[in-house]
Parts: sequence; structure tokens; C-alpha cells
Amino acid sequence: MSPESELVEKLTILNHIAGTLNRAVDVHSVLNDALAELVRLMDLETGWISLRKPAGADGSMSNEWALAAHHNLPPALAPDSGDAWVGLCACQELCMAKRLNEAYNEVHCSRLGRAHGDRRGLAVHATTPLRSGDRSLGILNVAAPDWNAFSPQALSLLTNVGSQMGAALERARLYDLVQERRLHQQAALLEFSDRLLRQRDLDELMSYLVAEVIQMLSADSCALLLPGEEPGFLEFRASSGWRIDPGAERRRVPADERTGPGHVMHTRLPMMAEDIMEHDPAPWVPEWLEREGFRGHAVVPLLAEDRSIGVLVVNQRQPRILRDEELSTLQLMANQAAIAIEKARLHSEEVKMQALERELEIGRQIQLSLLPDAPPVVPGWEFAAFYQAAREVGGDFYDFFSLPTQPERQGLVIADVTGKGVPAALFMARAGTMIRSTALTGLSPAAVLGQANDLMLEDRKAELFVTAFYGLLETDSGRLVYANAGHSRPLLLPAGKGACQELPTGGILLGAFQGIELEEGQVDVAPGDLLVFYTDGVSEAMDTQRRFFGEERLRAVIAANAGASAQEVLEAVVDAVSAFSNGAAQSDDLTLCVIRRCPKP
Amino acid sequence: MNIVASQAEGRVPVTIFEITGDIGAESSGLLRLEAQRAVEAGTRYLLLDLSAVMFISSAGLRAIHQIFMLLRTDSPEESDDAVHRGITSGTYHSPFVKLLKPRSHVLQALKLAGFDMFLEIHSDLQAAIASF
Repeated sequence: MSPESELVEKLTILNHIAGTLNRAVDVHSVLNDALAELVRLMDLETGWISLRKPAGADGSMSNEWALAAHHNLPPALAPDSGDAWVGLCACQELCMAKRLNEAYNEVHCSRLGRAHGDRRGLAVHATTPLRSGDRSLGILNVAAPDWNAFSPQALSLLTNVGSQMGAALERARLYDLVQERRLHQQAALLEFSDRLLRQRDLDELMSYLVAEVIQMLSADSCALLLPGEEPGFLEFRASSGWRIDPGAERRRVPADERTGPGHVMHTRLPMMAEDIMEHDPAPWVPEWLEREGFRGHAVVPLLAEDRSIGVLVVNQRQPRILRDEELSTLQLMANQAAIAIEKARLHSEEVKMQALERELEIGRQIQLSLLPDAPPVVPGWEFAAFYQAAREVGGDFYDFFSLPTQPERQGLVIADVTGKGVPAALFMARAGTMIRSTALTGLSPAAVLGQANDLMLEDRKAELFVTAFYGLLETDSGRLVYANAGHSRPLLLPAGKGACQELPTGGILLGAFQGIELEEGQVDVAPGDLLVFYTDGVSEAMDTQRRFFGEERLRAVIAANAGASAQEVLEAVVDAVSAFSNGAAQSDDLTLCVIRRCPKP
Repeated sequence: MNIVASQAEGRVPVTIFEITGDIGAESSGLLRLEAQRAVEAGTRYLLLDLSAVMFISSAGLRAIHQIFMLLRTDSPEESDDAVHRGITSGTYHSPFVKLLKPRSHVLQALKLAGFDMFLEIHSDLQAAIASF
């Protein structure tokens, strides 16, 4: 055979073997076919492949061997023949000693020597290492009865086939590794998204996310930034791996094109730099960021429904560029996190709303529990009262009572605590009780409010003011004696007159100064006269243009209803205020009490 | 609400707060805070210019009262007893906090709450500065 045709034959054999080895990803399953093909093409009798078992994921090999493929073995070497495959053979020992570098003729095969039974006349075999780089993965043995079967050319061909098989085995091992890593990664991602979706606390969720990103990408640091309270800036909401916690330092990043996070927020596309210190143009790196010594840098957007709700920043203290699969893992995690963050946010807003609603409800309950069930019924008099809480309860209060020792005297209190919500309602409850219990002792109105004032000042915790009007009405005579501590002046519409008058006596509100002495006023209420008591929720009711209802409108409505019953006047005022505010939300409680002395029949 | 602070020299150095807008529930906290800062920076006499204030809520009144308490001294003339006797008899007004030119609605609220009983209300800037 000419050297050329020998070469062609050799290449054809190699090509065939390569074709067979490449047929499947799992090389082990085609080793038998490749071996059979080799034996046939080289016109040999039999062959077998034994492989070393891997020692670890790094590709190192152990000293344990296994028969991985065989073709046409003689009965003496049958795989289940017992003795023949026990222990190592000389070629395996050579391989482990790294002395088997290419194919050679093994004249005295130790395994064949040990084998009992029919050897089909096999005398010699050639052996070649299956190599990948400088590692021997196993050996390929072929045997023939003919002493001349293995020419130098045949041995060189075997060496090449051994290298080809070694490369194929290595490729398969790497493939398995990648598969395994992918499976591991997929499992981790599943676990990650499961935990994210179960996590309801936003801060815990974000801390978990940054820690998990570091773990998954073997990164040095990770931070999550969200738009902050001040427009135009991103704030650190969670971070891990930083030398100085940027969240605790209240660091911010401008959300504009100058900065990586700002750029990513706008473009909604990931951004990477292998080394930000070498980046051109020079990136935005303030001194506090420079101190961290970051080099490799990647930013991905947190995308929820195509909006960037924030960014995830991954840093390395060595130059590093994320591989495609790492970047897509990061983006996947960011997207999952974005959905979970949106969900947690909605949840926390809902919780806050519920808490607020509960508080408002408690405030309303306290308020309502303090107010009299019904206005008093006194012959010759009409009493009417109205109370409407603002959404956030204010501290309005009114009370009617008759004095136990002087049943002909009817007490009336109308008051307003500065402040809102549960604290105001609770303070009003205390103040209301103080006024009522003092009033029931029969003290004069000025003395009652003076004592209530001092009691409030002793109770310094609340630091709230109360405006209060307290009047004692002698229902026989119609005389009203009163004191007014900073409260809106009540209005009197005398029968037959077209205009209201104020009850003029006033004084400093309660809770400001210890020991104040209020002036007392008095007025005689004649048959047909009308008295209107109100809180500033009436006069300061606002329309949609933020104009006040005002005292003038109130006076006009009352005057326009001269002669009407107390209940009718009350309803007219409430309707007028409601028509004026025209749906504008009212910030204060609205309280109104109307007293009318029935005209003489 | 907005506050512009300036200094004027009368017999004593006077800090003037020109307040613009409403003094409501939220802004009253800011007013109190600004006053607190001014006091920490050495202010002893404060004139609140209310000429551009459209509305004062009860929280605003509380803030003014707190500023009054902040500037009160421990001297015998400023003791609780002396102040309440002075307020009742109409002889006491704070020498430290004064008000300038409140609009009618604000003035009404101040009077209703009795704040004119312990705070001077001026209608002229120079006269107000000179009165400290």
C-alpha cells in the first residue's frame, strides 16, 4: 500500500470513528459502536475499553477502573467470566503511572495471561491511552491472533483514535457538568422565586434578594436601589457585601443618564462594565463609591409590567464581565424580584390603610360614645343637635345635662380639641368628663371651665388645647349664664329681628395657662328667640376653591329661617354647609346645637 | 407655608419671621421647628409677621403658644403665677414674642382663642421692632 493510500485509509477510519462518537451527547452509549467500527475497519478480532472513575467534579481521576465497552470478546474474557476482570492489568498500571503516552504492542498481556478458557487464539494486543490534555481517562485495547497485526502505522492510528475518544469523553463530562449546574441553577431559581412570592415584608424580601444574587453569581456585592422620596434620586434599599452600608449612610444615586443605575432605569436595558475604573468615558464614581474598590460592574432593571421600578447593581472587586447565562440569570432574578416587590408594596399599603381605617373607626367610636343619645326635652324649649365626624376625626364634643340639685337649670357644653385622630378623641373624652363632673357640682360656668383648665394642665402629656363654651340655662326665666374659653361665639337671633347677635364674652382657650380666670356673660332668651352654638367645622367648612363658609353665611342662613323650629334651623344650616362645600373633603368635625324658646301661643 | 427669617436692630436684636401661606396642621410643625432653630442660634426676641397668612388652624395657634413657652424665661416676672395674674388683669404681654399685621380672619381666630390676651399685636413694623 502506498503511503498516500495508507493516509487516506487512516483518515477514513478516524472520520468514521469521529462520526460515531459525535452521534450522541452521551459518549458512553456509543463507545461500543465506535469500538466495533474500529475493530472492523482495522480488520482486528476484538477490543475493549476500560475507564478510570472520576475522583471529583474538577476532572481528576481515581484509581478505580470499570469496563466501559467491549466488542467480540473471547469466552475467556467474557465480562461475567469472573477471574479475568479482577484486579488491574499491566497496561492499567502503566496508565496510572503516566507512562502510557501512545499506543504500543503489549506482548505479554497480563489479563490474557490470567484468563482461563477459550482465548480464540488471541496472543497479543495493542493498548493506547484515552487522553484529554495530560490526563489519561482510560485505555483502549485491541487484540489480534496475528503477531504482525500492529504495524507502526496501525499503532499511530490507534493513538489518534485514543485521543479522539478521550476528547469525546471529556466533552461529555463537561456537558454533564453544565447540565448539572443548570439543573442546580434552575432548582435554586425555583426556590428563589417561591421564597420571594411568599415573603410579604418588603425589607426582608429585598435583603434576601441581594444575598441570593451574591450567592448565585459568586459576586462580591449586590445592592437594590429604588426611587426615593425625593424625585430624581435612587435610594439604597438593601445591600450586601459593601464595606460601608450605603443604606445606613443614606447614600443616593442621581437617576439620570450620568449614572449606570439612572441609565438603566431609563433604557430598561442591562448594563455591564468589565472594569469601571478603566471605563471610557469615566463613569459617575463619587468618593464613597470609590472607597468600595469596585471594578467589575453590572446593573439590571427591575422590570414589572414593562416599567423599571428600580435597579439591581452587582459589583466585583476584580475586573469581571458576566457571561451571557449569568446575565440572564441575574435579569430573571431581577424580574421575579420586581413582581414580588410590587406585590409586597401593595400588601403593605393595604395593611397601612387597614390600620388607618381602624384608627379612624376607634376615634369615631370614642367620639360617638361621648355624645348624648338625644337632646333634652324641656317644656317650652326646643333642643336640636347635629354632629358629623371628619374622615380623620377631630375633637368636637357637645353635652346637655341638668343639674341634680337644680333641675330647672339646663347645662350645655360645646367644645373642640386642637388636633385630630385618636389622641384628640381620647383627650376630648378626658376633657369632657372633667367639665361635666365639675359642672355637676353646681359651680358657675367660669369656675367650671377654670377648674377644667387647671386639671388639663396637670395632665401635661397631651399638650392639646380645648376651646369650650359652657352655658347654664334657667329654663324658667330664660336667663343663660355662660363662659367661653376661646370657642366660636354662639349666635342669638332674637324673635322678630332680622339679624343675629354674638354672645360677646370670651376668654383664653383651655390648656394654655394655669390659673386663668374667665369672664362670665349672661343673656336673657325671650320666647321665640333662637340660639345657635357651633364649632369651627361649620364656619371653616371649605368649598372646592378652598374658600370658607364663614360666619356671615351662617348668620344669613339663620336669619333666613327666623320663625322656624330648632330642628328646621339646624337642618337648614347643615344643608347650606353641605351645598357650599359641594363634595370637598372636610378636614374638621362639624357640630351644631340649636336651642329655641317656643314663642308664646 | 413659607418662612423667611431676617434680623432687625431695635433696643435689642429682633428676629423677624415673614410667614406666607396657611398655618395648618402640617406647617405648624415647621413653624415650631424654625423657631426652635432660631432660639438655638441665639434668638431671644421674635416678631411673627402674619401679613401674608391667609388661615391659621388650631394647630397653628398651638404652635404660636409653644413658641411663646419656648421664649419664656425663668425670671420672677415670667413665673406661672405672675403670667396668669397679668393675663387676667390685662397687664401682661409677652416681651419676647409679638405678632405683626394679622389679616382679619387670622386676627379673629387669635382673638377668639384669647391670644391677644398674652401677645401684642402690632400693625406697624418699625413700631413693633421698637417695642421689644
